[in-house]
Amino acid sequence: MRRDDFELPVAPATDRPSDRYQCGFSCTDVGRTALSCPLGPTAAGACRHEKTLCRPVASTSLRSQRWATAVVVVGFMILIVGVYEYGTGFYKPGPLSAPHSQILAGKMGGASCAACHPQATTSLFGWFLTGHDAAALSQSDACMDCHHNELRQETARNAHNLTAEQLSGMNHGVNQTRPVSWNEWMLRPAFALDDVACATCHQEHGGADARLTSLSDAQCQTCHSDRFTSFATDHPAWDQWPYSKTESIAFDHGTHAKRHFTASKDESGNAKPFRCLDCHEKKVNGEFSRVTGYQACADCHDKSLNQQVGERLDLFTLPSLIQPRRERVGDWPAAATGFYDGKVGPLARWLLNSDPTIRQAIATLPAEGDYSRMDLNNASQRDAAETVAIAIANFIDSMGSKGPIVAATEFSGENQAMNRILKGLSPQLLSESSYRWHRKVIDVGMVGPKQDWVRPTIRAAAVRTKDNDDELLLDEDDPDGLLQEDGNSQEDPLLPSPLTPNGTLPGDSQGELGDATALGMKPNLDFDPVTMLPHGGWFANDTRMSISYRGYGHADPVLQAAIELVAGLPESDSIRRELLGSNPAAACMVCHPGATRVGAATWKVTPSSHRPRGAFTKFSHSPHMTLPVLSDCVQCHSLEDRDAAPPSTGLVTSVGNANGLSGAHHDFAPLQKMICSACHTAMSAGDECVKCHRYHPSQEPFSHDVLDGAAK
Amino acid sequence: MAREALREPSMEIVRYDTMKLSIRQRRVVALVVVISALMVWLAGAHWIDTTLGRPEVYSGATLLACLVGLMAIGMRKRLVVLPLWSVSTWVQVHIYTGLFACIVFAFHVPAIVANGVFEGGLSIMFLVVAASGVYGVFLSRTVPKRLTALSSQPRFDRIQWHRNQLAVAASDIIGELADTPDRSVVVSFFDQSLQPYFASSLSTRYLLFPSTSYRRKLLAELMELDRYLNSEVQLAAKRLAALIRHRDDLDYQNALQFRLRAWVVIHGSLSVLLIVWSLVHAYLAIWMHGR
Repeated sequence: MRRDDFELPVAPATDRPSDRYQCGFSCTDVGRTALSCPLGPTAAGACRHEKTLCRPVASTSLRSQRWATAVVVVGFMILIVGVYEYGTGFYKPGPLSAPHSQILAGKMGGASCAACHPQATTSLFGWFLTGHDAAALSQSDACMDCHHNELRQETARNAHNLTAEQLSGMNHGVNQTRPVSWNEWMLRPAFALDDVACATCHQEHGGADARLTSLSDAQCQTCHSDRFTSFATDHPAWDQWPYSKTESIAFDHGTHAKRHFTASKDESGNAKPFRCLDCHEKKVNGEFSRVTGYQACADCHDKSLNQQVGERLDLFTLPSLIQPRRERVGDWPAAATGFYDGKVGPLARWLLNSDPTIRQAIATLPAEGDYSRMDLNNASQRDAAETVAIAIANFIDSMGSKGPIVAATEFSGENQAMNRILKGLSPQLLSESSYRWHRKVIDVGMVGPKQDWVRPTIRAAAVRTKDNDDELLLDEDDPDGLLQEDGNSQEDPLLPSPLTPNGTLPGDSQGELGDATALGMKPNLDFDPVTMLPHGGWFANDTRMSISYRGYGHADPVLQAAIELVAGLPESDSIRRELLGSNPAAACMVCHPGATRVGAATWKVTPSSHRPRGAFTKFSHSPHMTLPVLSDCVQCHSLEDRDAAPPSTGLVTSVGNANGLSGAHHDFAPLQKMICSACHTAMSAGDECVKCHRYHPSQEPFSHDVLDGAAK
Repeated sequence: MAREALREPSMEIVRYDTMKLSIRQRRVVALVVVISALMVWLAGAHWIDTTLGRPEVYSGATLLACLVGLMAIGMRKRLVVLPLWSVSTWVQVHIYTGLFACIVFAFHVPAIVANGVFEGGLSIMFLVVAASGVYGVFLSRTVPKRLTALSSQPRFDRIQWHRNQLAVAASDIIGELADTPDRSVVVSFFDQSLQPYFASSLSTRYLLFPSTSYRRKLLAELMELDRYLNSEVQLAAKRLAALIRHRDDLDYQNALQFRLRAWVVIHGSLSVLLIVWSLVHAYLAIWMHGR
């Protein structure tokens, strides 16, 4: 060492780096200097000398531990203070999506957490104390508390909200046409197909801009193991999508486009163009009406429709009898006496069939009530003819006195369709008609119970038939003799109806008839419904002695009700066949075969039950129509070349099929996938699964019941 | 006497004597291992994601496991008797596990700093611990070199004892001077500048930003006195200059070792806090998961 250098002395080795205390070197004991203590402190920090004159200090190790402890304690304090200060809001993993955030904006702390996390209580400490209860409500249950209108609770956690049976049915249908793929051995979902939590796909706390409903192709392919690299190459070609022939309405685009419109002439003599948008109007939301109203058809079909539905539909017709036995049928109108004629119509048969005796009598008549085919030598037919005639006459009288609906309900039971048929039928029309036909005054309602014309009751007549005209029964029915004939009253043609002193009802749609009856109640043989009931209605024909209805225009309520009345009857039922075969009903059935479909009768357009269009797919015309090349509908929706289609394809037009069995084949050529794939690529319009598919089946217009049918 | 000779046996810098690979080779191997582990982990995350599982639980569990593994180095240092590899190996594992955890963290969190007080605090804590880890790597690469370049490497907690020794030695040098006229020059300078310097403790400014400027100033002023001193007093002045250099070296040692120790305290204590908050987060996340 140089003379001017200095060598640091060796420090006393009285401690180790891990010791908690070291010498303070402040010892002033006699014989030692402050820098040369050879002992050092104890582990507890005490000086080892007898006279404790030194104060040991904390070692670096101990000071480090103190600092570390202080930092940890401060961290805990922040945690505790944060919980107290912010409550459960202290633990906030991220902002909610905008809809949920708005809903929960008014809730505080734990309440907002508990809205979606049923485990959460209002106290954050409670979260740690309550523990996990497996039987408690799940978060998906909390989702369903609000979203129960969109999904059914019982299937909400099922894959695609389908039951196991539905899912199995769909898989079975697909697997039948798909070869076994190596994808079958790919990764399986991390959940059971009947326990798919909402949060599996809908991940919250992503902020207001996060798309809560977004779904990636990879997520779809968790279950749909066939790998789709692109829509153009891997998506299967669709068979008949998006077409689904409705079975409720019969309309043939092909014949209209190529035949009817071509043959039509407008004012200038040119054929009318067949334009899609003339019928399928653009709606407010940019979509096109899939179903058009009758107005689109009215230009061409209104006249012929009115002509067909304007034809008479009889409710009752008094049959013509040969020498009616007065003791049985009473005073039968002279105009209806002579030879057997007339027919018991389908509506009358429907009403009278409720009584077994009358039903049997009708069955005895030839051709289900055709009096013109009577066998004059057949006594049973003659009896049946009189029985049915009495029943009809009495039914008319009953309707006239009690009202049509009340009388029909009492006799045949409650039936909404029949009520709708009879809703517009005036009791006065019936009573006045009966009066004119019989020249009798009958009881009308509760006023003026003056009944001077006597006819045995329907049931009594039927009993008499069985008892070989036992005249005593007449006395039994009328022991007081009150039902005896009153010849004086019978001859009073001017006696007005109690309700219509002058023979005219206010608001009577048959005003002309009322006026006619007021003028001496003479039979109005010249009543012409075409001119006198231009908008349809009930009328009486004194020549035929019938109560009939004249329909008018589209969706005539009485004709609708009449068709619905027989829609539930078996197809072999004569009432059904006869009514649907009548011109007014047939005019309806030409376009509405679904109105008589067994089990699902409807007048409205409904999708085909075998193809629930839109359940898992979605499509919007709006963005497509902005492209000039797609603005023409036929670019995608081209009509099938029917001439080229062989008969075996099952191409059946449902027009003219009045039996409700429409063809399941639609009128369009299958949509080619390449039309879509030209634009729908990953780099252009996008080809993600959710571009066209939806995970949750749509509720409208398809119900789960339809889905059930689809799965089957 | 060379400064290396002054080293105490306990202050020997720990060398990676068990490493047979060069630092570059070791770094390549470690990175390959990290990347491989990351790819395996990503495959697992992809598997969980494609099966609509809970990848955030997977990444969170991985992070928690990494934190526990990273904390294990502290236990290893306290269990020196166990044959659990060398500390240097543990340090290397610690560094690259930390790197792996940072990447997993990036996959785990929706944002670098999550929303909410607790979640945001947890994110910030992780980032601070990770940043302090990076700073620790920087320190471990630079500070030892600077420490070993000095003449002596005293223990941190004995630096003050050495300072006191230097102060006593300086007083002895002044006391040993003969009573000559030029002695008063040195004594006057000693009383005004050197004695306060040797008696003072380390300033905060020097602790944070060590500098030799004050040392150079004192040495320059001491050199200025030479022309007024005879040869004997000049020798004493040179010995005082040597003490000044020693004092400055001690201060420099103090500042650098303080950085290492402060870093260990901050990194270690925040790590403890981080793992506690992470456990709370894990409990709540699993309990509140959306099933």
